[in-house]
Amino acid sequence: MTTDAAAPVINVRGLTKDYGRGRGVFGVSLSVAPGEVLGFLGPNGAGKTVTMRHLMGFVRPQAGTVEILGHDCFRERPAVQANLGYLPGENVCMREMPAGAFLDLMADMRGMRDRFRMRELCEAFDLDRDARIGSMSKGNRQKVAIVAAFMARPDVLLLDEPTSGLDPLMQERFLDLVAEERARGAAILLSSHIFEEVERACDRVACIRAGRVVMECSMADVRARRGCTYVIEFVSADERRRWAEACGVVADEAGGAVAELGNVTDVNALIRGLAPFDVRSLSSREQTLEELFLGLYEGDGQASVPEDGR
Amino acid sequence: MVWPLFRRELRACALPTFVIACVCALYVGVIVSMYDPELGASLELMREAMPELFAAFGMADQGATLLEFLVNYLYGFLLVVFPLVLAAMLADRLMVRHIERGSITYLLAQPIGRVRLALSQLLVLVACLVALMAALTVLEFAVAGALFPGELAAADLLAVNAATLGLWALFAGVCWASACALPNVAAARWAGVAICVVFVLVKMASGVGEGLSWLADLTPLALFDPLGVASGDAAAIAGSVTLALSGLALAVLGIARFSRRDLSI
Repeated sequence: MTTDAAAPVINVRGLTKDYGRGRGVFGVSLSVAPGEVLGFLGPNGAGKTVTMRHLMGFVRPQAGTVEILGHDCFRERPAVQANLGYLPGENVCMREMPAGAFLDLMADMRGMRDRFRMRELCEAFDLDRDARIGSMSKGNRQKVAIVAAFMARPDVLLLDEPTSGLDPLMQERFLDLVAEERARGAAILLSSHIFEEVERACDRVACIRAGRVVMECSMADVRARRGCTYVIEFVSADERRRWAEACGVVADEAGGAVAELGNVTDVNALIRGLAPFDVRSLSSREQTLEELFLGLYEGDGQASVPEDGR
Repeated sequence: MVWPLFRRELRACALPTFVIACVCALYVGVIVSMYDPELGASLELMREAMPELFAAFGMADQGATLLEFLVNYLYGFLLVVFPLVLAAMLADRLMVRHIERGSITYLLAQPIGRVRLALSQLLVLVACLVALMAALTVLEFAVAGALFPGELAAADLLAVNAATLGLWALFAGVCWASACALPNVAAARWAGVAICVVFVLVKMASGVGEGLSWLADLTPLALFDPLGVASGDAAAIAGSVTLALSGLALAVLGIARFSRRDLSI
């Protein structure tokens, strides 16, 4: 690593880029330290890709600063790219080239003489180096992009939808690779829609909505924040309807005799409320990460922002 | 210059350059072989029957020497239009297509500045045009030497071809500036070649008759005078240098714009 381990490697402060009609990013601030993986979540059009473009130096910020390893991402692009691996969301390798020739070209342009890591990654992901990229499946093209991003052992990795198109086995290998890079000390920004992937790979998570970061916290905080969902099975659909009417709960007829209650804060009140009714079973499960974030995607997000802003 | 990329792109651009070179070579062979007193008389008869058409294609005068014949029948239209097509195709392949497909993402993800990247791609375009001119020059000498030994002065042909290369540099500069600077892909692809086609059409229209001769002043192609360059005319040489420098200036402006523009890729 080339920087002080305590200092953030990726540093975005007050980034604003207004594309009009509410599109863009507004005052986005993020930081990723060495050896840390930050999950970057948000619905489509929320501003994840715009933020990534700024980090890659493709776009100049209207306001704010975007720095990697202390270098301005737009003005000092070559210095930034020398230590950065990028996996774009859209897989856009040169389709007319064989995978091996493409990877060799990228390595040559980078001045990378040692190809051991490239070969190692090709083997780990079962990549056919002789196949033309244009004739590959989406998953195999994604493998080419993964090898291109990781082969130089960069200090910083920007990964946009990295497991898109990969089969479960390859997704598993990819998560192992991310863990390996994190252990090596790389700072990783991982944008994804796959909550399980984020939960497994990331130390912290930032959620962006309508161009603004609405939540940033550690995965431990996320886990602690999860509520419980209670599943109540009544003896009949009529009994469930009777309970719903008595408690003022909006009944979901599709559920039949089963009712599901999320974010229950007072369990005793729930049990007392169920006592007059004929209940077959009562079970609880932890709210999934997906349910937690879908709430953020759909809601105003403000209620979930911790007081310390992290 | 980014050597690995330069080598790769040069290989990718070799085929279109070869195809255009073959078409131009065919015309070079045919037109050199047409330099024949009897065929020349037939051409003169055709020219007298359709003077405006011949003038529009830069073939107003058959000329007294093989060089003049070549300049009138080859450099007035064919060696203007085909290289323009090649310059437009290569500017598209080397820049616009990478932006359109997004593959420029990978090129920009390497530790190479945008200026260096665009310059390397431009040098591929320049190398292809220079190679085309070199191949045509060799062919012209070979065919003329075989059919009409001693008729073609080497220095004069080289001067004519140097002047022509100046014109090609202008075309390349316009197409490259368009490819690098315009944010819309369709505009980047077509604006440069459209401007060059307008230049050529205006030049053609200006040759049709006396009434339209004033149009010649509206196109930079008026500075293209290969026979003047061959005869050492200072104004003609200055014109060719101006064309080449204009092309260079436009290419530099295009690269400067490319280095600062936002790329939504």
